[in-house]
Amino acid sequence: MADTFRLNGDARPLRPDTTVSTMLEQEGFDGAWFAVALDGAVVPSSAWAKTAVQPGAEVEIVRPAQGG
Amino acid sequence: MGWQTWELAGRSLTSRLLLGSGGVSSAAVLSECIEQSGTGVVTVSMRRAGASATSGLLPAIQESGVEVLPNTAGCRTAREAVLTAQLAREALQTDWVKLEVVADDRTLLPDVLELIDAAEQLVDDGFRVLPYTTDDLVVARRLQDLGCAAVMPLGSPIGSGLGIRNPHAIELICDEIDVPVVLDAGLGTASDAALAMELGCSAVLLATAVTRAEQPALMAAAMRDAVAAGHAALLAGRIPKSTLARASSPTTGLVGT
Repeated sequence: MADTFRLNGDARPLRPDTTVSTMLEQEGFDGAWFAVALDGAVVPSSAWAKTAVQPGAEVEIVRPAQGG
Repeated sequence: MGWQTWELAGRSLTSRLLLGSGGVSSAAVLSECIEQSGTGVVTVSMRRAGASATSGLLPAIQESGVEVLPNTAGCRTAREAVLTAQLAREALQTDWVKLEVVADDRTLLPDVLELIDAAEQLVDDGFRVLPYTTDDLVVARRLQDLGCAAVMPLGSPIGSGLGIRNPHAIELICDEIDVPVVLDAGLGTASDAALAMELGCSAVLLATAVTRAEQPALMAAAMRDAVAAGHAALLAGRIPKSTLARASSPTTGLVGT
C-alpha cells in the first residue's frame, strides 16, 4: 500500500522525499498568512525546506478567518 | 480624556474599542466597520485552510492600519489553544493572542482550568496573552498574577447580546485588577458598551453586536461614541445615587414665601 499523510484531516498520497516545502507546492499553497504544524508542532517557514513529511504524518495548515 | 492614549500589551492605542471580525458579511463591510468604529485592533480566528481559500480579510485589516489580534476560538483544551496560538504567531508575525478555551458549544463559556493552564504555557513561551475569561475576580487575579497582559471578562455569553448580566462582578474586577480589563462578549447595543466603560473597564471588545446589526457600520459608529462617552463619564465622576429627590433649583426665595 502506498504511503500517505493527512492534510487537515484528509488522507493524501505521500511522494518520496517530500518536505514541507514540496508538499505546499504540490497542494498549491503560496503567498503569506498561513502556518504549518507537523504532528502537533509548528514548523517555522525557515525550516520548511529541510523538514521531511514522513508516512503517517499529520499536517495542519491554517489561515486567519473571521472571528470575534 | 477620551482622546488620550492607553497601553495594551505593549502597544499604545487611542481607541478603547476593539473590534472582532466574527460574523462580518464581507471584507468591504469589515473595512467600513473598522473606519466607523475608530478601532485600533481587530481580531481574527485561525482555521484550517484550503489552497484556494484566500480571503480578503487580512488585506482589509492591513489596509486599515490596525493591529491584528488572533484568537484561539473553538479550542476546548489548553493543548489545542497553545498550538493554535503558535500557528497564529507564525502566520501573522505577532506575539499577541486573544486566548479562548471554551467548555461547550451551547454556552461557549470559558473553561477556566484549561484557560489558566494555556495562559501559563503561552506566557512562558513569550506571548502577550489576552485571556477571555469569566466575570470571576479570583480567576482574573490568577490570570494577572501568572503574567497575562490584560483580563477580558465576559458580560454574558458570546453572541448573546444580553449585555452585562453582573455589573457588580465587572466593577469588582476593574477595582481589584491592575492590568487592563477589557469587557469581552455578550454586548448587544451601545448602552452596554457605555456601561462597561462606566464600570471602569479599560476597553470593550465586541464583534457580533456590530457585524450582525442591521446596519453594521452605523452600529460601529454608535459603539465608538458609546465607549468614548462611558469612559468620559467615568473620568467625570458621577453624582451619588439617592433614594429621594434633591432639588437642583434654589430652595429659597420661592414665590409666596
